[in-house]
Amino acid sequence: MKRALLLTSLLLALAACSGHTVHRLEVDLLSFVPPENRTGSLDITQTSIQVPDDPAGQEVPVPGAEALVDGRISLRVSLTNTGTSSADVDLEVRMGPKDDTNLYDENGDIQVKEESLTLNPGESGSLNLGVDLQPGDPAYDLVKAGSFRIGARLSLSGDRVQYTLEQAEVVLRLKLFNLIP
Amino acid sequence: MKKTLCFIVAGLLSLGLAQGVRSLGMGGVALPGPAHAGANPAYAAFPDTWGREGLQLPIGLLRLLPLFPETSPLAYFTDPQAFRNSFDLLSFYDQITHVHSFLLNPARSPDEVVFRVSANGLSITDGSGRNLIPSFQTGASPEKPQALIPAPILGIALDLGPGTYLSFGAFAGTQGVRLSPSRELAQALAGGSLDVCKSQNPSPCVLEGAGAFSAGLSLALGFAAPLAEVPGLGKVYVGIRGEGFYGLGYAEGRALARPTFDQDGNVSGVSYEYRYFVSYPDYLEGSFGLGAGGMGYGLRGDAGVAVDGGRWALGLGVRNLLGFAEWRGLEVQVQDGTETRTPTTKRSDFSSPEFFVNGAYRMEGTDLLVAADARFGSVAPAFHLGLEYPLGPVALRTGIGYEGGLRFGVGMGLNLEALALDLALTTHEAPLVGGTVYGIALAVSF
Repeated sequence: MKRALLLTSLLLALAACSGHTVHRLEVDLLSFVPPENRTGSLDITQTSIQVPDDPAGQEVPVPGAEALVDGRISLRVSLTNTGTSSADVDLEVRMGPKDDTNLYDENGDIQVKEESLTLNPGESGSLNLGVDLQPGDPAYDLVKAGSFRIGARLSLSGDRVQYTLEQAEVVLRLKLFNLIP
Repeated sequence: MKKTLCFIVAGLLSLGLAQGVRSLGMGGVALPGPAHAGANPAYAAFPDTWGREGLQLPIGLLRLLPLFPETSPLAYFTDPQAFRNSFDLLSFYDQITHVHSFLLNPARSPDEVVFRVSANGLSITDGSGRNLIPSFQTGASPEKPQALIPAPILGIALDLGPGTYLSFGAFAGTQGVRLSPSRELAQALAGGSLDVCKSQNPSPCVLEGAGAFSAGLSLALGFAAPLAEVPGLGKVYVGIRGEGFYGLGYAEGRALARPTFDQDGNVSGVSYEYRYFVSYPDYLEGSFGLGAGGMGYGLRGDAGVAVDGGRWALGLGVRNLLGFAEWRGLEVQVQDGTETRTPTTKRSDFSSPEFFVNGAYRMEGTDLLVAADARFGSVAPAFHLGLEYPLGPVALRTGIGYEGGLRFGVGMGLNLEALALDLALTTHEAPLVGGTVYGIALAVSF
């Protein structure tokens, strides 16, 4: 993906250059997750999953990050309680600097947001997690550093749930003229 | 760096070669007469009854004042914040290449450019979901030098006797500029899938940019004269011209970028390949220091014929009927980071003619003037059709044309005997983003 973003930066430079132009970079993280890994189940033998599998998460280089205006991270997971008792499901998004090797060890990384959902047996629902990146947020500073890592963890407290990842997207808005001193 | 910037600005200005305001009001049509002796040498002896033009004012330069921060780089020095919020490189380019028109709505970069990256590919759209595929071309092919150099800036002409003239001056101009994606890249960007780019190795998805610029001193010797009146036809004029140049600088460049893929079909990087050729006289080596000292020269022959039939006129000019240009300098090729520098001599084709046909007809009774022209051959084809209707001291004009894009013009003239004013509303196709750009042009004559 890093190389794909380098290609993006080349085209970005050619596409438009003006003080009123905002460049919106949309990265469809879900498409980088193999289809067979987008659905599955959590139970008492496996109570959590990480997306991506690697605890270091997914590195996202941001060309011209100094020009960052704002951004948004969106995640959506649909869930069905297939067990026999009530289930509590937590979804958290974590970010860290590009050299972080484990986004989940509380060492240099941050929890950006967490959402929870309780499902009764047979009940379905979805977890929608949206994070706005604004100046002053630690997550905003991580993005503005030029390269960051991002990952998500889905955790179960209960019997068994079926999950499907439906959306995982990072949207960054950049204004290249902000780079002009 | 300053010299490079000077060359760039001179090159941009040369793209906006002046057309008279009367002509602009008639959709850009070229009326028969001495104003177009450059395109048809026979017009050097033609009466100036059809194509009379006033002094065109470069009112487009007004847009370089900080008052217009969207087109003025100077705004950075007077109001940096306004510059950061408003300056638009595309608007600036559009205005400086149409310096004789004050553009009412210069080409504007999109407010939002959306790059969507997924494992399957990449798409570039504006904020409305419309695909943005960079594609742009102006002038002739920038692949090789041409004997057909730009017209001299402030050239000086000397009358050497019956029908013979000598003209000389300095020239500087862009031969051509092109930015274009390959068919496969356009398809991939439009569809958002890179599958078509993986069909071959190296990838057929290529973004190409190319341009050429030349500068030097030119000297032309021409002859134009009326022949005897041909019964039933009119007065026939013929002209020939030989023009040579001594080159002061030539730069030509071409860059290609294409994606590369790993064995799983994922994008693994971008392969760059570019080459450029630079030539200037040996004695300028101390100033430029690029190791590209050499020499440039060229010679070409033009010919033309024109007929004045009283109420009508017709002309055919051929430039660069035979020609030759040679530049000795340095070619630098860079492929995947490896640079190769080779002393090279670049030569033009021996014959690369450019044809120019134009004519005008004044209808009996109404005095309505109908004019048309066409240019084709070694340049991108262009044609224009214009009308002028005189109403006492006022003349109303309109016309359409195709010149890299559709254009039309509306104009009027006011002849007050001591002073004549020509005003035109002009249009042209906005570069890169498409759409129509409107402008106002003004000329005066006393």
